[in-house]
Amino acid sequence: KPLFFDAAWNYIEYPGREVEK
Amino acid sequence: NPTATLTTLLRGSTIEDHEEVLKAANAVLKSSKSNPDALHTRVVALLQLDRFDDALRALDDGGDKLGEACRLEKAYALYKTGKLAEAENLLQGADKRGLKHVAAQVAYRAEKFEDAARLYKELGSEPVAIEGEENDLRINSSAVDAQ
Ligand SMILES: [K+]
Repeated sequence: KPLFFDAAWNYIEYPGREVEK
Repeated sequence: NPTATLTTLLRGSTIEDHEEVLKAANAVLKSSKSNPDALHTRVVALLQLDRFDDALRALDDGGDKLGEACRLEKAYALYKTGKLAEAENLLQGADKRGLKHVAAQVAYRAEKFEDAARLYKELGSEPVAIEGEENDLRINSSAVDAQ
C-alpha cells in the first residue's frame, strides 16, 4: 500500500486562524 | 466573560488543549447559542479531538449558515467517517485548496483515481499555501499514479 498523507488536515483551523479565507 | 476567554484562547500563538477550547466555545454558546465563531470553534475542536461523528452532529444542529461557513470541516468529517458520496456531493466545484485536498483524498479512497489525479494536477499547478505541502502533493500524486 503506497504512502498517502492527510494533507487536507493542515487546512483545518480555528476561526481567525484559517490557512486561507 | 466567556467570549473574551474564547477570543484569548484563539489568539494564542499555539493551541494544544482542544478540550479547553471546546469548553470555552460551549460556555459562549450557553448564553449566545448562535454565535458563529463559537459554533465554528466547537466543530474544529471536535475534529481536533477525533470526534468526527460529534462534529457532524454539531454541524447539523448549527443549520445551513454554519454548514456554509464550515464546508471544509464538514467535508473532512464526512471523509473521516467514510461518508464518501456525501463528501463528494458537498465538494462539487471545490475551488479552495483545502477543499481540493479533501476532494482528492475522497476520490483516492473511493478508488476514483482519475479524479484524484486531476485534482492533484490542479493543486500542483497552483501556489502552495502551507509549509510541507509540496512534499504531501508529491507523495499523494505518486500514490495515485501507482494505481
Ligand atoms: K490542523
